[in-house]
Amino acid sequence: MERKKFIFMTTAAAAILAIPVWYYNSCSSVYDQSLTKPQLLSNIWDTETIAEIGEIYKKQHSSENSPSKLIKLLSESISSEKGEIVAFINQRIKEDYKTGRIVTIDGWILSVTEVRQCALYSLTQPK
Amino acid sequence: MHIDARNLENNSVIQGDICIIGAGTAGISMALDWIDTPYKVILLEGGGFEYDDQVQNLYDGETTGQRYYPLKSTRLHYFGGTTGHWAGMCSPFDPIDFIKRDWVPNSGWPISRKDLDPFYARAHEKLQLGPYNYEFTYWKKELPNLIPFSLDEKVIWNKMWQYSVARFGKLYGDTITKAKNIHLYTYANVVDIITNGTITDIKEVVVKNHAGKTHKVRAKHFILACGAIQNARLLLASNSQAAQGLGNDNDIVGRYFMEHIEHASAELWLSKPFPTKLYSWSYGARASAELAITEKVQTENRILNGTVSLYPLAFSRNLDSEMDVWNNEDPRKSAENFRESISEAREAAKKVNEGSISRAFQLHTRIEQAPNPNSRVTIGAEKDDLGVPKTRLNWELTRLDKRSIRKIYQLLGQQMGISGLGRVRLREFLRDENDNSWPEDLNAGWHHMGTTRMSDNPKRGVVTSNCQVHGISNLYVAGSGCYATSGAPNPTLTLVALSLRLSDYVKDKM
Ligand SMILES: Cc1cc2nc3c(=O)[nH]c(=O)nc-3n(C[C@H](O)[C@H](O)[C@H](O)COP(=O)(O)OP(=O)(O)OC[C@H]3O[C@@H](n4cnc5c(N)ncnc54)[C@H](O)[C@@H]3O)c2cc1C
Repeated sequence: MERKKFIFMTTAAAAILAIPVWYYNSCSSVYDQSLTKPQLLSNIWDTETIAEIGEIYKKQHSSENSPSKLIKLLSESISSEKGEIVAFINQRIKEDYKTGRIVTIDGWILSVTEVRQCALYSLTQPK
Repeated sequence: MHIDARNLENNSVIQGDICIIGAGTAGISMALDWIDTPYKVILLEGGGFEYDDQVQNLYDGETTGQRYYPLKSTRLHYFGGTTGHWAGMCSPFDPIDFIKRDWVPNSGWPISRKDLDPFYARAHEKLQLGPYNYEFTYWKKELPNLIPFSLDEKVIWNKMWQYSVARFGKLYGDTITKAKNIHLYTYANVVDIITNGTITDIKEVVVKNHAGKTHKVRAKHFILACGAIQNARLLLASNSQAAQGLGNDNDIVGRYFMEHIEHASAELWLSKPFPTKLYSWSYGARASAELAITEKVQTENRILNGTVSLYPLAFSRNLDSEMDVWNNEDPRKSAENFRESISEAREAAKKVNEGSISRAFQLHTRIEQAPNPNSRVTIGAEKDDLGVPKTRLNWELTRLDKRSIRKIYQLLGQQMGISGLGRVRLREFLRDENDNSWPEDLNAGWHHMGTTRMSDNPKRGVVTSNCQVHGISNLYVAGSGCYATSGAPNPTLTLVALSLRLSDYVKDKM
């Protein structure tokens, strides 16, 4: 296969795989709800606390204070099908902890990814 | 043999081969080791066999600096010593506790953990503990319900503990009083230590009691075993010949007082129930564990050695701080308050232990404090009933102490995140990296250490590696005052081991 063509085709394949995510990235009103639900934290906190932690994070990181920005950040390099998003996010949370992408909010030692989920939750839930 | 010193004729002279001053944990452990030897052992105990408020008053003193328990109630002044109140938690110091760490000023013992191992094994017998084995794998086989958290062992390990129920007064009273060569004198409070003219040998000690009697005790060797605060006090107060006190040519006696910082510093919220007996302590349990940081990670992060224990959060949130509860001058009342506060917290916990809090734990720190020369025991102008200057304690902590606590929880929080077991929440006082203050509810373990620290260099320590006071050939200190650093575990197992090592050393000199 011609090299140019091959590049085009692999890009196209990647684009197809990434469609759901790309779609969320570009259109903040449609996104996978699991992005707003930090799975482990939901076992510990009620939704109010999730929203509160999200609020604090947003205040500390004003550049991330928009759903589209957070969706983009959360969806980065997600190339899996929709159903696997939860597993992907959970894996990324573990990676966050491993690599020190950690924030302390209200005393909680949290992964950046899960806090972004809280922030997205706080932005997208009806008040 | 038992003699009540109140019934002796005034100004009696008592003679023996060795004289052990203080029949508490260290003193009794040593005395037991001399039973059926050809030597006459004089064991001097300031109190009787039961609590006596007049004697206990002799422990009264003043504290400054970090908030502390009333000095009168942190120890017990009668036969059996403070084992009358202790909780019996035992674990050996770790190898890192003995070595010089360049990030811990004044760290490093002149002996190693290996030097103490054989004596730890012997100490286990005196404290009636299980086998001298603190390997998690051993205990896992013994007690299969000890299920560990799956955390990275290169970072966090399970430090095992064993539990003693030995109260030395009840346990060894008969053995000591029936031993032919052990001459126990009760109500024999040492008030002064008299040396020869060159202050290189102890000639005799002066003993007094509330019956108004004064006696002298002469022996070849004298062992101070009155607890770390009282040993320093006696050395400082024996200043008729050496103006600064005995063993204090270099102004070290009383300095480097250390405690274990104990505190509810953080919370662990598990995402799912995790049934295990490994991290909980209950009366009668043989062994359990605390989460500890590996030596490598301590070194990388330049932190002190500490451990973390788990208490159900619903209980712990209702528990008053020990510093608030153990506040009565009378140690019996303080102990009662303490027990009551535990019962009340248990009751209160029953009402709230639902939902995710039932999977949550208070994380309790137990950590060494960095040796600090300004944390110290001195003597004041005021005197007790028997004419001995009263103790002043200035307990002082350092920034390293606080930074280490914060780091331990950051590491634990990270490991909990990696494992997916749950999340850690820091208490307010740890959240701001620039905040070096301490919270009001900071507790200490009632563990007194470091006031007669060990060093081979007399300029840096009061006693030699064999616990002999530098420059005085026949005076020794038995107990946790000899610690150069305080380690993470409670002190008593190590102080008994060290006393038995001293016992061998003195035997060799006889
Ligand atoms: C509430 C509480 C809980 C504790 N829990 C634990 C625990 O779980 N694990 C642990 O390892 N440690 C614990 N400890 C600490 C432990 O009790 C001490 O480390 C230990 O008892 C110290 O032993 P010692 O022989 O040095 O002093 P002590 O046991 O206090 O003995 C000193 C003896 O010297 C006598 N004496 C004092 N002055 C004179 C004098 N001038 N002349 C003659 N005799 C004198 C005293 O009457 C006493 O008998 C606890 C302490 C308390 C108060």
